Amino acid sequence: MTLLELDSVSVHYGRIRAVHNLSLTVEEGEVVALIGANGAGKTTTMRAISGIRPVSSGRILFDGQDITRMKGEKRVELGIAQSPEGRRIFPGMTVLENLDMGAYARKDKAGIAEDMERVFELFPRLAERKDQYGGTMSGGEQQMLAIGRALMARPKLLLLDEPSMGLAPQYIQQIFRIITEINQQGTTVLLVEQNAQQALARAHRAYVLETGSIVKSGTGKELLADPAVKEAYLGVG
Amino acid sequence: MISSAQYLAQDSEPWINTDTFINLFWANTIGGLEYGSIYALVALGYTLVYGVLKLLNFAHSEVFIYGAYATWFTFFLLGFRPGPTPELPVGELIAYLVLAVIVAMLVSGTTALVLERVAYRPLRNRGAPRLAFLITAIGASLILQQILFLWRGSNPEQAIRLLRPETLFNVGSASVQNLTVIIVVASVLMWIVADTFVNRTRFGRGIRAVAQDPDTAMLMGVNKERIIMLTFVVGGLLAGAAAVFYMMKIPQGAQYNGGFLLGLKAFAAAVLGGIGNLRGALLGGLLLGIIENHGQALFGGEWRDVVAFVVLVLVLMFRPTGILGESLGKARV
Amino acid sequence: MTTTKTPAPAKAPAEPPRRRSISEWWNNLSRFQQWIILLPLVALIFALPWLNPPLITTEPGYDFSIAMFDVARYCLIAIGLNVVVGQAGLLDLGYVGFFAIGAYVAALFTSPDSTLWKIPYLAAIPLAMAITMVFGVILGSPTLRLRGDYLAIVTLGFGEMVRLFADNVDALRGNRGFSNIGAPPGTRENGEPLFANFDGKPWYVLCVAVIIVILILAGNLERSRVGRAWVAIRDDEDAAELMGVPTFRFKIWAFVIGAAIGGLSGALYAGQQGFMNNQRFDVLTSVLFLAAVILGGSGNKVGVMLGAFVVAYVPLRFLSIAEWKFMIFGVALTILMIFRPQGLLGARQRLLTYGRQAYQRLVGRGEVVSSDTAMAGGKSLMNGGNGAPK
Repeated sequence: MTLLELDSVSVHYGRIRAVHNLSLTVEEGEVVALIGANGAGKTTTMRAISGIRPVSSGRILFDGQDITRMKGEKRVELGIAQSPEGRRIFPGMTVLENLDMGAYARKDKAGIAEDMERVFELFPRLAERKDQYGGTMSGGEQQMLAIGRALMARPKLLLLDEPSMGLAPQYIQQIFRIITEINQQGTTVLLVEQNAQQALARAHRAYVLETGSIVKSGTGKELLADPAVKEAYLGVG
Repeated sequence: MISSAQYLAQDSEPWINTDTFINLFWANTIGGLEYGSIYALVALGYTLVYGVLKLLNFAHSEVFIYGAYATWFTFFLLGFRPGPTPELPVGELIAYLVLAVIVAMLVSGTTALVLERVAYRPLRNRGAPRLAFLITAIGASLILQQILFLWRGSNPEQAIRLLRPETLFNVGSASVQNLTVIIVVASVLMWIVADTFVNRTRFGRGIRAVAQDPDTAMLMGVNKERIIMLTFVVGGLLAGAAAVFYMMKIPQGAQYNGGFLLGLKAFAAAVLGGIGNLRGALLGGLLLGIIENHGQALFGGEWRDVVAFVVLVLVLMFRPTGILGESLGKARV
Repeated sequence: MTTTKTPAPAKAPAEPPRRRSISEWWNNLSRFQQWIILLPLVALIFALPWLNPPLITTEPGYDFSIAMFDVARYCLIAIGLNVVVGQAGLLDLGYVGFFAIGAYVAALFTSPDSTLWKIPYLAAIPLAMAITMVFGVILGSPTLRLRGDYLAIVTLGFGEMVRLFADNVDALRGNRGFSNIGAPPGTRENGEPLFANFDGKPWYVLCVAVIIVILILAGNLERSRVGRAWVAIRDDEDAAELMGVPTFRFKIWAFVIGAAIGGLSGALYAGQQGFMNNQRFDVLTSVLFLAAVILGGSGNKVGVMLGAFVVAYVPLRFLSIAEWKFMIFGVALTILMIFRPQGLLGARQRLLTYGRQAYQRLVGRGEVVSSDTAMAGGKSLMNGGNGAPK
């Protein structure tokens, strides 16, 4: 079943068109990757899905419902959570408070406690640092916190924007492993990455974005083998 | 308690009056705490709004003065008039004061809410530059002030007193009056409530989240517009409470432009403590009240306000983010 | 596997709307043509108090020549404040403080009530400017390193402090004030002084002449390195700092130049009034000054003079609404910020001030450098930059 569908979506910043007639689908249970160079419009797409950036034309459907004009905070209630680019941890809140923020839209105390346990299982490091302020943590720890925070919303669809950016190699491996794990636990994932190798290896399907439009799509394996993709994004050939 | 102003009037010959300073040290410290509590409550309003919107809400002083007028009219409509303080049973007195606090908080809270909706929100919707917000704040402040002026004229409403002054105990050479205790204790209590609200409740977390990163707060499901409204209302409520204390304290009563100077000082207090920081507002308010009183003792009553500004400038020079640092939550609130 | 076609590059953006036709037309005229048009206009402006046109006159309520002097004085103030607010983007809410200092310097050095030695009025004017500049440095150096909002509050405090000093320092004579403040030399046929305080005409002519000089100087400054640094600071201070613009020094300059013009207008005011005390230096006056700049369009010299005209003239022309003036300007400011935040005549992008003439010759029409086209340029750059493989 299709969980998320973007139907010829365009997004503008003033007069600059950052995303143009973009269409993509994410099926329930999938990991879908969106790859492309800097400025290709990946983050803009994510922001449009979350409702931070208004869409200038086209439609966004989630779970069969048109959410194009819905406010961002309402989309969270529907089940879209995002771990944004640059992690965007609340620096003046502790790890625990940051995780609580993730569950801001929820009222079921028991469920929240349960999810907190689950996040601490996925990221034992966060449990150790419960009372540390977000602003004082390392990049890798912040990334874990950002993903954990998004999971606290118990989303149907988890949007991950550049989860590997700026991380040491051992963290990158770990983060991607955890993404797979989260997906196996039943959360659909839409992943934006510059680290195309890892992303394509983990994703069921992927889209290649160039200057605001999709130029290629296919399964992760297909794209990994595609010569053009290899040359442009995998640094070989 | 000897009023320091009277004391100074008798002998204000030397330029720096260390005798007065020493003689009235305790009296001025206590009096400073009293004024400082009022500053602190108003400063909280500045700090909250600044923290969330990075907006210097000039019109907050008018939000405050509307509370002062609300207090006066509450007393007036209860049948009290300017002049000698009536003899009231304690229960009745408390009931009236609580009523005044509630009315003033409602009026100030509503004023703040209307201000937010009518003046600032349209600017946000249009993505206006920061300078536009500041100008609007000044314009709105002017409008609110002029409404009072055109309605009530430039003469102050004579103070109406319900509380008979009584000395409760002594500290050093100074006596502490019932009014002082009420103001300081009530203000600190209100600060504790506000601090708890911001740091321990869900809405408070929302406020801090919007203050730290509005976009990400939205990703968490925080309704930014509602949080901004809430912030203005909380600031307004606190200003309303401060206005009641102000009306109980100051001799000259409420005047249409009376909020200006107090607002300026409350803002100075917020900056002094570290704007955007709730503890900073309390610390800055109390400190400013005390410094101002001692400055008055040292240099004479006419220099009271000058002392306040010099302190502000000095603090900004050496510690631009105030004593406790900036931002809701960034420092250990 | 599907391969979608790369879309055609973005179409060139539509022509920016040609709203600035008057200024375009003006800029396309040669210097000579500009002067041909300007000269009669200036002559007309100079002649206004003598013409005393029926609909425009403020009489019988208020002497028209003095009203015109007030308007001119506000124009001068607005030009000075515009350097600070409009060009450098520093919100100064204590401008009245500089105005007051200028007025007091003129009074202290020319009034017989003062105990200081006396100098001629015309010598007191540059002195007033010099002293306000010193105050500008004193106030500016600790505060201009701060962020904009703090500057607003500190300048507000400064304005209040000047007022408090005027109230409380004995040498400044508080409410008693100074009388018989000096004036420029010259006598009428009947032997009375030419610059008398009951007649605004000579003062008006003097003030307009000063405005013209200041406008020329300010225009040159705007086109200079300093002016471009101010624009950079106003638009993005951090970026300017990164580009190596010594922002602090240029901010001080803006502040000090603004202060000097404030002091100058204060000195003129004191001279015309002939009497000066501690009244009228309150914060509301500062706000009124600011209203003039913002209403007209901060950053645009013609605009701020228009704003000054509105702020100074309207309450004098319609005395019945004088009591409402603060209300009216408060409402005007608030509404303006919502619907036309750039003011009645908005500031143009002046980043390419130098390049404009050349550009005009190249394209054959006026300035088209608006933010829109600048952004569109960014877009095409983006297109070009993205094709390259990573």
